[in-house]
This record gives sequence, C-alpha cells and structure tokens, in this order.
Amino acid sequence: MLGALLECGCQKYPDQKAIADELARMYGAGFEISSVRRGNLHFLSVSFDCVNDEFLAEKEDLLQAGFSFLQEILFRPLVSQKPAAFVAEFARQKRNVVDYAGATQDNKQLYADLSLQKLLFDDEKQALPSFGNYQELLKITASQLSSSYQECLNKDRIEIIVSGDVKEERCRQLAQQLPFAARNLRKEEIFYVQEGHALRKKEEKQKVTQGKLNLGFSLPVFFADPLYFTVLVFEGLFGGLPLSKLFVNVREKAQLAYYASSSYDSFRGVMTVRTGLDPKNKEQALAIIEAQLKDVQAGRVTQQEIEDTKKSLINEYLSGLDSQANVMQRVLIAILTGRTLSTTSWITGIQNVTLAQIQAAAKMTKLQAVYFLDKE
Amino acid sequence: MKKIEYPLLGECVYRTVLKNGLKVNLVPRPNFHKVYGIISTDFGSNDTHFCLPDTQEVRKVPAGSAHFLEHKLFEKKDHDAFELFGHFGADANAFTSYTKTSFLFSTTTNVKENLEILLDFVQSPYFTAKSVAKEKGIIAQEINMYADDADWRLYAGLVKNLYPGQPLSYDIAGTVDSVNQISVKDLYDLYQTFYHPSNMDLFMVGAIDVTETLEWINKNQAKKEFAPAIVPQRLDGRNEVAAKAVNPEQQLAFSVKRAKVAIGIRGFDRLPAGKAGLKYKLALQLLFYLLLGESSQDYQELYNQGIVDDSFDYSVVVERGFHFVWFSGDTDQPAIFRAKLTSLILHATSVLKTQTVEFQLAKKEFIGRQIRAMNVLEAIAEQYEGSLFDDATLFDKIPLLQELTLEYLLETAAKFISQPGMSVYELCPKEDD
Repeated sequence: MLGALLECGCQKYPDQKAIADELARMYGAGFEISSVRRGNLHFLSVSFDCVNDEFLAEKEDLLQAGFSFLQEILFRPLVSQKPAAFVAEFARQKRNVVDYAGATQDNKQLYADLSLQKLLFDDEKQALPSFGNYQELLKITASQLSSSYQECLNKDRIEIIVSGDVKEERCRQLAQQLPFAARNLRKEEIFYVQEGHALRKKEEKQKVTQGKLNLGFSLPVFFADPLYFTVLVFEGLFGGLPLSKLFVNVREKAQLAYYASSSYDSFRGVMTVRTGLDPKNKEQALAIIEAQLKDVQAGRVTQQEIEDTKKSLINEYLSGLDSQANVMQRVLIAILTGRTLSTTSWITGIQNVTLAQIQAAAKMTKLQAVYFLDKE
Repeated sequence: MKKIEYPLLGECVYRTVLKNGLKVNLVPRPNFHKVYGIISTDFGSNDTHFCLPDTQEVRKVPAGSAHFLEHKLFEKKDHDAFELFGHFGADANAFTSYTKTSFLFSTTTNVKENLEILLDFVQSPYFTAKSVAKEKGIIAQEINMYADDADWRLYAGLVKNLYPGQPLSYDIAGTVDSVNQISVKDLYDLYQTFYHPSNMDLFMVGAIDVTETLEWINKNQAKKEFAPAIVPQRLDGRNEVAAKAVNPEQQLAFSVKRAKVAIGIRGFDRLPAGKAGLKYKLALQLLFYLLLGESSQDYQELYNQGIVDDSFDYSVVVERGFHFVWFSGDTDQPAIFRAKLTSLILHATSVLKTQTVEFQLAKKEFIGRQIRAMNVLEAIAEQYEGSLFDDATLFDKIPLLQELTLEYLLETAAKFISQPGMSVYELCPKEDD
C-alpha cells in the first residue's frame, strides 16, 4: 500500500497524470515501485530507467533528471504531509490494494500457489502473500502509514544500484546528493529456516474446469550454501526446467496435465510443485510425482539428463547477463546475503555437481504439504 | 545480401531471400552473450479454409489446427526436437497467433547446431495417427486451463463479438471438440500449403557473425529439396469480411469477485499497405494513449472517481486481414464504466483536436520506449512483421513516429472509430459465489 501511494504521486507531481507527464518528458522513462519478499526480508523496490542520452536527437541529462525525480518521489511524498492533505488518495489506494488482493482469488493458478504457501509455512509472515493480509490493511489509518514510512526512510537499510553506460563517479555523486540520514543498521537474517512438520493436506472445491494440485517440500539449502549448486541441478532435473522429469513424465508420457513444474526458493529452503490437471487424475499424478523423486534418490538418472540440465542452467545464467534488470537483481542478492558468486565460480559450481550429490539433495527433500483445488 | 543501416541507432539489419524463397534477416549484437533465432510462417489459426497448391482441392480444417500443427512439428520418428535443443544447451519454444506461427531457440552456445536443429525440425514434418491422438489430451488440458482464466474469457468473448462467424471468433487453440476432429491429413495439407520456405522468414539476432551464419543457412538449405514457390490461396474472409455485423454487447456470469468489462472497436477501414500500415498502427497506439493513457485528463478523472483502477489496460491489434483495439478493466460500476468510455471513444476527435502540447509529449514518450526496447533481443525479433509492414523492423518505428502529426491521428481516428464497430463484453460476478 505504501508502494502504491508513493508511486501515484508526490508533492511536486500530485497525481498519476503529473507523474506520467514527467516520465514522458524524460523520453518515456520507466518508473515502478513494488513490494518484494526474499526470505525474512521484505522490501520496497523503487526502479527507474531511461534512454541513454546518446540516442537522442536533443541531448538531455536524463541520469540527473532521474535522480531528481526519485528525490521528489521519496523525500517529498504525499504521505509526509498532514493526513488531511492526502486522505482522498489514501482511501483510493487502500481500495485498490484491497481489490487487487481480492482479485487474486479469480486467478486459480495464483490462488492455488497462495493456498499452498498458507498450508506450508508456520510463520504468519511467510504464510501470507507478499502483499499482506487485506483484512488488516482495512484498519490502517493515514497517520499510521505516514509514520511507518518515516520509520522506513530514516532507519531501514537502503541500497542504490545503478547499471548502464554511465560513469561510476558521477553516479556516486548523484546518489550522495539524496538526503538519506545516517543510520545504524539492524542485524537481519535473510534466510527463513523452518523445522520439518508432519504432512499437511488440504482440499477445496470451487466451480472450475481444471483442478490444481500443488505440493510443498522442505529442502533446507540456501543461496550460495555448499550444496547450493547441487540443489540447482537436482531441482532443474526434477521439475524446474523445460525438459525435467515432471514435464516429461506427467505431461508428455502420462498426458495428465498441461503444466507440471517445480520451483526452488533459496531464501526459504523450500521446493514447490504446481500442476493443472483433470481432477480425476489427481491420485495418479501425485503417484507419478512421488515416483520421480524416488527415482532421483535411487540414482535412476541418465548422464545425458544431468548434462542437459547443467547446459540449460548455464545457458539461463549467461543469457541473464544480457539483461540489466537481471544483473541488478544478482547484485542486490549478493549485497543482502553477503555472498558473491562470480560467473566463473557459478559455472564451475554447476559443472562439478555429481550424481551422488544429486541423490543426496533429493534425499533431503521432504514432502510437507499437499493442496488440491477440486472441481465442484 | 542487403545491408540496412541505422546510423543514429548504431544498428544494422542484413537481409536476403534464398533461392527457395526463405527470407533471412540477421541483426548482429556482438556484445551480447545470447543468440535468438526465430522462424515464422505467415499462417495462423485464422487460416482454416484454403486450396491445396497441387490439386487445387478446397479444404476446410477444424478450429485449432494451426496450433495443433505447431505442437506436433517438434515430434519426429526417432526423437523430439525440443529434447535435441536441450542436448545442445538451447532453450526452445513456439507460439501460434491468429495469423502467424513461430518456432524459436535461444542459446549462448552451439549456435550452428541449434540453428540447424531449428531449420531441420520445421522443414521435416512427421505426423502419425498415434502421435496425433496422444496430443489431443494435452491440448484439451491447455484449453481447460484457459476456460478457467477470467481475463482470457473476457478477451475471447470480446473478439467473438467483434468478428461473429469468422475464424477469428474461435480460440487459437480451438475447442475440445474441434481439436478431437483434427486428422493426420489435415496437418499434412496445412503443412504443404503454408510451410513452404517462400511463405516463411528466419530472423536471427545476437552474438552472430553475419557471413558465417548465412553460410550455415545456405548449406543447410542446399541439402533439401522444395516444391516450386507458391502463394498460398486462402479462402477465408475474402467475401465475408463485413458479412456479419458486430454483436454490440454480451454478458457472462462467471466466477469473479468484481465485474470485468471489455470494450472493443473493430476497424472497417482498409489497412494501408506496406510501411504505411505500421505508421497507421503507431497512430492508433498514440491516439488511444492520448485518449485513455495515464497522461490523459479523462483517465485521471475516471481513476479518481473509482470507475477505473490500475487493472485498466488497452491494446492495439493489427494483423493480416483485420485490426481492432480493446480496452478492459475490473470495476465496481460496470454500467458507468461502459457509458463513460464508450462516449469518450466516440468523441475522440473532438477530445484530441486541442491536444497539441500533449501530442508532442506523447511522441517523446513513444520514441523513448522504442529505444528502450532495443535492449531486448526478443523484442527486436518479435516486432518484425515480415511482409505485413514491408519488412519494417523495430528500428524503422522511430522515423515513422517522428513523421506522425496530430492531423494524421485525427484522420486515423475518424476512419477507424465507428459506432457499428463497437462492442462491449462483460463478466459479471455470479450471485451465488
């Protein structure tokens, strides 16, 4: 909600139109504020991007303009005024966020993902969606939000990352001009670690055509841990990549589902599996998914599968270097975790993974939660 | 090979047409790690009614056949092309639209091998009754997944309203019933008619050497035999374009929390040929940005009144044989949403007439957006529309945007927007949910 309110206006550009006009003046610059969760940390990501001046017919200093724009947004926001001055915008953005949260129930894939998350995690902050609990949000007042923003602006950790055809020294100068007060940082642990628990199951019926079966596993290996690369290869092989065992066996061979894939969260130490299927095939799909995990545990994996998985992971990594947004994400993660992985160490790390290690990672993977959305 | 230079942007496009008719575009980006290669045929879900090139026999295939063919082309007698890409470290994909089918790979290694895999699998069809039967189950699940997707239903419902009775009114994937009727013969007939190299183009962008890449392509093509080039004969839409009037409105009770409304405008005017068609499309994008984009005063008022929110969106669709624009959003006040937006659209020319300053600003915005899109290899390749816009690329859009005038936008609005071309489709929350 704070992000939404900061994004839609500030004292100098008081509404969306004023913001949009200013961005248009800067040759269609991009500007977005979003809220993101990584493990225990929750942050507001404020991003701005603009054209390299070199490509413009009339030269303008867009880098300087971008920093000035962000300064207006962050340091002279609507929320720092007296609550009465932004009460209308406050009410509007509150309603928008609540509507957005409600609309997630209409997207069944997302609904199933969020339902699994609720079932899987003990800590309420992890069990909730990253956009929070909208029943609680309804109670927030303008002055509460305003003081939590002051708290955030003055006490929280701030990271500024710049990428592009720019001079480092100039970026440093511009960043230093932003009037952030000096602060003592709290010690924060990014990784969320949860003890294993007994298998949890939940089934729900709604008026849908396709059923959704989502599984949650604990896989307590975290970003850049010694076993991190092993888990990347294991998870890619099992369900994370296009040619994984889940895709081949659940979709291609058994034709039970249009999608069947896994994803690994290296900040919470979990792996989740999602499938969309005809509800009558649920038990069969579950059996096939469990059989795939057993196969990897028992080492029933070909050398070709391992090699293809490694190639695919390396291709994904190198391709990511062509995307500024991706590179900036990697930098942010390195800062937050204090763990840096160079391109060379990353590639070597993947290449060195052995079948025995993959088996060990598979054995650490424990089913913790099964959520099923059934047809009414 | 023709070299087309864009000195202001520091870009170059190399273009040639091979002996067999395949058009090749190469855009080197030496500082990138990745190579993105995409081969497309000028054939999509709309092309269901056609003449076979050799016998002139008239054929009609079930809805969803183009998409089905796209899926099946990966499967070969003794291997799967998708897996083969995997062995060579590439990521592969494919997609089907109303008028185009594309197959692509993205790789940071083994460019030659992956390029050959792409050309070989697309140019060697292998369909059997058994594999066709197998695919039907997977595609039925894909169709069912979309059936539960409220935004997709809204869009599909609107397009059906705009083009009743035409192939466009069917989902690209077809229906579970239509897909069940697809036969091996249908696939071979479509392939023979629409997958000739002369109806296709290959676009490669990224870390490539132009001379070497072209040599690989030539060598690969020289090994294969092709029938003489043909112009596919499509029978759809020739005489029936305006046969059925737009269905002005429809509602569907659906499992949604809030109403979703879509408003569409079908263009009855003729799309200008060649690059002028792209200029026309840019003019539509710019004029609706001025009318209802975030910079518009009217949008801001609707937003402040709570009639639209951040879910509001619009899109301009210009393809071979049709063009339309659609607007959609979630709202608590569907009746007012419809009334206000419809009236604003119908009065577009009088609203835009005075916006000289806003127009200049919007042009700046659009030019900047195009420059930013040049960072993304996929955007460069996918914004190439082949013969539709006379081989224009993303790099041609900037001069076309510079050419645009407010007068041209007003003319375009007057030609494009008409009351009989408008339709509203609404998903209303079910009472018992």
